[in-house]
Amino acid sequence: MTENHAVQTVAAARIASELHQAQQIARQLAISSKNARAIVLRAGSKAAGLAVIANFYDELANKTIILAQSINHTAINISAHSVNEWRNSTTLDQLAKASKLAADAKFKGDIDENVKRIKIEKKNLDARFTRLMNELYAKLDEIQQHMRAIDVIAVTSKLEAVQTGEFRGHLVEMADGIQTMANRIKEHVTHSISLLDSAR
Amino acid sequence: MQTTTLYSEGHRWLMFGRDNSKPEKIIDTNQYMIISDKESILLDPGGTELFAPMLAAVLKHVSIEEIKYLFASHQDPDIISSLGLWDQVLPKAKIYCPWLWEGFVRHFGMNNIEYKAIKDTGDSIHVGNIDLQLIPAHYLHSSGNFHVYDPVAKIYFSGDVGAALETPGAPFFVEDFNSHIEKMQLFHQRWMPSNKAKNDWIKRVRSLDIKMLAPQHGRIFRGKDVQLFLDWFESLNVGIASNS
Repeated sequence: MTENHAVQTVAAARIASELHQAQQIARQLAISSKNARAIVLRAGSKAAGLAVIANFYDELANKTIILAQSINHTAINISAHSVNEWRNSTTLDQLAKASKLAADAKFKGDIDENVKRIKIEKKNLDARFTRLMNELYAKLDEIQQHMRAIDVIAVTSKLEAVQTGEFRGHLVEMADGIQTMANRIKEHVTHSISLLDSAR
Repeated sequence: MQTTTLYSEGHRWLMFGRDNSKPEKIIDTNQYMIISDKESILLDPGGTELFAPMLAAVLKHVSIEEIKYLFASHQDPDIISSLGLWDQVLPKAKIYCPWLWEGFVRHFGMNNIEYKAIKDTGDSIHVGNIDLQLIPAHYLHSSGNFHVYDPVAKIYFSGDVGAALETPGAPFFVEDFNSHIEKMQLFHQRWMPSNKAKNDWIKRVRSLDIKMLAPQHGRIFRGKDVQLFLDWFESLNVGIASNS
């Protein structure tokens, strides 16, 4: 593994851990959105506008859970890929050593042929590694967008809650809770993106 | 990596060892290659640290395509931790190794080479124009362990049996058996766990016609020294470690 790949692999593993925590929060978020829906139902026509918002929370929380799982899968792929890359690089280093030692060997040319072949494999591995890292960025960015959306919806739902009379307190409290959870997820994702940036 | 020819009558036995570039703290190992017609086999090809000097040494004698087989007597890193590297340069080769260790040896990295599991009772390998016998040597020292016997050259590759802990640059052959004992004694008493397994192996090996007994560490026994070694080993109490 090149030094940079090693750093990126460690970063990917740390991101998987960050996203595991984010996933746990997203699960709580999904439960909160179900609670919000129940209150909205009890509030009846006074909270009709909040029904759509509660569904939206639920949808975003579930998408976040799935994305976090997918990020974990990508992080595992990056680690496995790095092991292949490490083997490939180690073989190239060892073949370079062997080539020097085999200066007078009858079949020295066999080493050069293998070096050529393994270098092509290395190029393919490097390209795939870049693709996986970009995939990781894109997924993290998507979660970040979900959280921004939840934040905006929470503000809207607090305004809507004013019209729900006795349910207002519950709904505002719930919106605050959802906002806090979304912010915690955002923190994990922001940290993940900074880990990825520093590993690049 | 130094090379010496042990046999060259139709087919060839080469021994590689005493590598000057070997890192100081890793145990010195002997690697062997048998070449017959356009095929060859590497016996206990060694650890990762030895891959480059081994490959360079081997290519002085055969082309890389001619290395068709690897043999690993057991699972230890000094025997076969280079597998992941050989796997990259010998994608069509086969490795003969005890069935017991397949799941373990694959940890060294095996995406291309084919694993040929040796059953407990032994097997044979056809290399070029010769047949090599895979002789069971379980618990000597590994619980799944084989040696290689060439009935034509009468050379017996004995893995860790007959091994000696030597200073760097030791000669390839035992010259004085009695003075060699001190270099072997602790190794056999501590690494070999079972007197029963040892005596069973000695009985099996005494029935073979052996001119050279070639271990994976230390020096090769020739002629009468082979019998002297078997007698000495038979009388040795092994498995001496104590927990108290």
